Amino acid sequence: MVTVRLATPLRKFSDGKPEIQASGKTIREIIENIDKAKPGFKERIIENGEIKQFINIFHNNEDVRFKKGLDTEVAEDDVISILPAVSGG
Amino acid sequence: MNLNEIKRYSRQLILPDFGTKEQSRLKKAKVAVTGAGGLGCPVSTYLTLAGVGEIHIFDFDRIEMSNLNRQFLYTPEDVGKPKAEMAAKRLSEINPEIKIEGINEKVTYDNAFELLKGYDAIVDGTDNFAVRYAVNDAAVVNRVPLFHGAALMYEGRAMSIIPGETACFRCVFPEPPPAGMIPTCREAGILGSVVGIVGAIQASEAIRYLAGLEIGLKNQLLIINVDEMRFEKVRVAKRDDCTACGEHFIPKPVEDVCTVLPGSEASGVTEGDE
Repeated sequence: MVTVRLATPLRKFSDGKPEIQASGKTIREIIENIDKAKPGFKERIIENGEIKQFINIFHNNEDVRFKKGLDTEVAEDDVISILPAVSGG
Repeated sequence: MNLNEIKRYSRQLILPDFGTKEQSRLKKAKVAVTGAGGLGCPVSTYLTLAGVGEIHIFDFDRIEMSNLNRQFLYTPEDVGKPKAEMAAKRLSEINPEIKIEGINEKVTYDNAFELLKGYDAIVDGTDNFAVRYAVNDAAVVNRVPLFHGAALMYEGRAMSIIPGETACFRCVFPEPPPAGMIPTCREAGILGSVVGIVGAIQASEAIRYLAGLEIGLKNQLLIINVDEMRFEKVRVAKRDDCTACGEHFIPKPVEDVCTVLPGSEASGVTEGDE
């Protein structure tokens, strides 16, 4: 399993929890698997097959845009963080 | 440095790597703080206490009762008064050795490039995407280091942007979310101590940078979750195709996506509840 950390604006998909466990071989698979349990999740993050412009996904603290994006492969015990922009202050 | 200054700053003057040279760098520095709200209060307070020579605080809001869970420069008697002016007044009392100006002006994409010129640093304490992207683009184009911070509920973010060297806010988030997708502090709430932490981090980065010391949030986005008291840094990188700091600057004003709820006590002069 992979740990998926969710920023505050996404926690309605994790019942308010900061992180959830999910399975999948790539970031895309993980998002699709979470979407099965929590419909609407994928739509919040992906648009036309790409990560939305105001969302960042980090795989073991590295931006996946500089890896293989949604096709970035993940291994057991890896940590993924999904982070939309926030503007409050 | 006069005797008063030596006494006032003695606890930082005895720090390793910090001495009269660093203190005089702070004294010569001119810093813009955008926003005098939840982030702007701690940011401008710590810059004031550290002895930054000239601080300009930009805010167009008036003080509201709902600001007082976190905006500690104001009292209930201040409700209705302009924030920038009140912040400057309080801070001038706290440190009369420096120059503090409150600028009661709304920062927009149209005026940011002109307003935010000639500073040694900008610390961003705004509360909405429209101004954040304007401040980012102006900082990058004017080559002024920008110390970013944002917060929502129990979560905070901070990152330091050195134009020409590091990723900017737009490299990390090229576009703002559509209206209504990400709640504001007004809608989702904010704990005062969370903006306190973030503002103190922004100020620490700015102070160390201005003093000529190394800083820790270049190409790093710090994510703070106070609900589990977790601090983590993720690596970010400059994008060659960034419209702000990439090869060719393309102006990209961001629409004000803030939703003002009906019946809210906002003055409506800007997005309000910052």
